[in-house]
Amino acid sequence: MEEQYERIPIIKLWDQLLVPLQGDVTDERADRLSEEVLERLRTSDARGLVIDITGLWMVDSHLCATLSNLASSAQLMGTRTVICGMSPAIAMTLQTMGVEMRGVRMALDLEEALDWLGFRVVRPDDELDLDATVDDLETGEVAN
Amino acid sequence: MVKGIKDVHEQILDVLSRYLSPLNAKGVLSRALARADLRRDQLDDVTAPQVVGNIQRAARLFVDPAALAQLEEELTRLASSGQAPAAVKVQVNGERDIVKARAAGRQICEQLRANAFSVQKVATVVSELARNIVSYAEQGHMEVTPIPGGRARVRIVAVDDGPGIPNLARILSGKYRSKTGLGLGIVGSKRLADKFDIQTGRHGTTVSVEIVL
Repeated sequence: MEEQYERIPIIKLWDQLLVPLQGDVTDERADRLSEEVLERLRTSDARGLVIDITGLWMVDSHLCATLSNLASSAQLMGTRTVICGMSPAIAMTLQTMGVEMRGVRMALDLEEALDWLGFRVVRPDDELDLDATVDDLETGEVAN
Repeated sequence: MVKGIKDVHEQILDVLSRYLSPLNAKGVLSRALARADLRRDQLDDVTAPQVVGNIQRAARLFVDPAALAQLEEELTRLASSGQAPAAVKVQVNGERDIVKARAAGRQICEQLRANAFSVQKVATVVSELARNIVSYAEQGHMEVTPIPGGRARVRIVAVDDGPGIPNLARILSGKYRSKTGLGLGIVGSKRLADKFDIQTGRHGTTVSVEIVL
């Protein structure tokens, strides 16, 4: 039986850390990940941490506890932490079991998580586009 | 796999012809094949469930609603005959086996075409019970048994010969909290289960869970 020790990437995103979890995470891998993430928080100047669980096919109570502990520990280190991307099936299962993620910030998806951490999408030509749209509308109204 | 005199394609067509005109029956089947990205000669016991699923979705548009349930049942029986997924037994001796066990649970659910929530329930219960074996009994085994039919179910049995659970009442009350987790493994499994039974004593523990898909 081949042992798989895939590394979970810890991605620096400006002053945030992004941890995308994927596939099937063993207890040991989750524990090791927690240590690695907290160590990275200490050595980097990250102000926020996003744990994206979109790619996990299942989350049981133990993994929930591990992630919840990781989030709380990161928060104790002064890092705003948010977990995002829980699928409806996982959410319903955990809710039925009575698992609560108290004290942990949850977000629907990565966009919402980044939004909560203060990220805004600003494109250089946003203002121009807006003007164009208004112009188009006005022209349209005149034409009608 | 060869199945009697008629191949799966003909069998499905036979069933469909009883509900649809021959032309429509052929049309529905060939569209279902195309949607599953299969050629006619690739339709066998293994691919049949996928194609039957497609047919059932398409049939809703063509078949008299009163007869639809009957057709779906016939097709489901056809697709699952001879290839009802086998029960899987997993020895649980260490952490890697938790992964193996829950993957087996997932596979059985998918073969029974369970929805995402049911797959999740089964995989989670398997995972919780397997972890309990590893954490508290060191070793044991799990068995996941599919029970096909109109109300398809999965039975999950976890057996170990560990020291038993001394504080079962407290655990089942939901007030217990373990050192490493939330202490919800057993009570959580019970809440997810449609049927739940636990026998525990000084010579071991057997947990039996049934989940309707």
